[in-house]
Amino acid sequence: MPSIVVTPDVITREIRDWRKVVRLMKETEKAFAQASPAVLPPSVQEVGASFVQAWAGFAQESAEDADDVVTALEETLRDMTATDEQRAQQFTGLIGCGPGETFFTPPVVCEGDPAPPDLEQPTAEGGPAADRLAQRLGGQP
Amino acid sequence: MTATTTVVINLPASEPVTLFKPEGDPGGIDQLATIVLEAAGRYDEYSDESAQFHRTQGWLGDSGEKYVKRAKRVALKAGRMRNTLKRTGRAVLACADRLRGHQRTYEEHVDRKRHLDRRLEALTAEIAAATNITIDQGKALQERADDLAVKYKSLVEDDRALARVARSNERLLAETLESANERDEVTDSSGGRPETALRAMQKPGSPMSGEATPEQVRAWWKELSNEERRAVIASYSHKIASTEGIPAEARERADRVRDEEVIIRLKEKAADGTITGEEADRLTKLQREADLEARERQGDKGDKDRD
Repeated sequence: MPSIVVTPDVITREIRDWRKVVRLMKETEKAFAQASPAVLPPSVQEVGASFVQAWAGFAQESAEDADDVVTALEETLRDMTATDEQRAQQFTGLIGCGPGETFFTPPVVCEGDPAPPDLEQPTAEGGPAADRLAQRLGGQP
Repeated sequence: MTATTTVVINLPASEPVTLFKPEGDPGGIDQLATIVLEAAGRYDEYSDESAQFHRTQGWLGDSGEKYVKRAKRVALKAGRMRNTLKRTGRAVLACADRLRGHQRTYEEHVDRKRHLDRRLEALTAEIAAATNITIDQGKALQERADDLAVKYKSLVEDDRALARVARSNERLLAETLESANERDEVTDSSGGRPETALRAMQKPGSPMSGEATPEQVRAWWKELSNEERRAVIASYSHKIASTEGIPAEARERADRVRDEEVIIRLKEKAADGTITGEEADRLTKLQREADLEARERQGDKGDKDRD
């Protein structure tokens, strides 16, 4: 089984960069669409018109290609986040909290646990609450 | 009784009846080349970004592998499209420059014809007003008419030559644009290169393979037609600028074409905020050199005007 390592930050950065590419290609498409072949000598105008029209099309396709990647990355990020949330909920159930109660639900305190001074809101990294979950689950395999 | 002699003076016709005028707007074509080269700059950015995507660290697993493969393919395609646009932009810029030169030549022809027509008109009036002229005076008038005939003939030849080079320039421009507007061509190494240039680079002794000696390259260059030389300077400017055996003047011209293209492309990246430090330094250097050359050319023109 291959190793799987990825963080939302990596995907988010890739999405940002690909979005920039989409913007650049849309600008290119617009520039070609606005170019006038009338500046060319009459004998070259027809081929000039085909050229600018073709490149407006190529740039549009390039923008669509990049946009497809953005969509795929956004879906990947959504899947990752959803999976993470689902697993968090599943593990919360395994730890022994009651049904429908999530790890981050403030009033729940499991039997035998010291009363927490404050239950923090989750952060991208998980925060101290996630650390406690990790402690309960034991060391990393 | 006084004997009278009729003196016949053969006057030349004012020709060519219509001077050949090269058509097109060089400034507008420069702008079109700028659009093409700016697009090359954006594809450059696309390719750079994609290349960085496929170096992405921190994403391992099947999905990461597939993503990297996709980014690699996109980087390759975008890089090829950038190259086609660069070649096309360079060739279009060179065609605009030549058209500008041809239109200046046309203006010179207009001045020459106007001057000759004035002289012909003055001579005609003088002959019409002449009475009791001597044989010698008659000969002098004919000599002036003959001199005008020679100058008109020279103008006719120059006008034909201008039409030839202007049409050749138009053919080259059409070939260049035609070579870069099909889907297969834009990602091919021949994209943006006119047939004339491709054929010339296939001839024996061409610097294409990198194996020809300077002597072989010199002989190859000598055999090329003017149209082929113009085509390879624009379409293979990097190669021509750096190959021994090609005359210095042609190498300098190729160098200018290449620099002009790089300046436009990097300016676009600077405007877009995607220029790297190294590229910014290169842009500053090239821009400084181009400004200096432009000032020198302006100085030369001023000297000529004063002369």
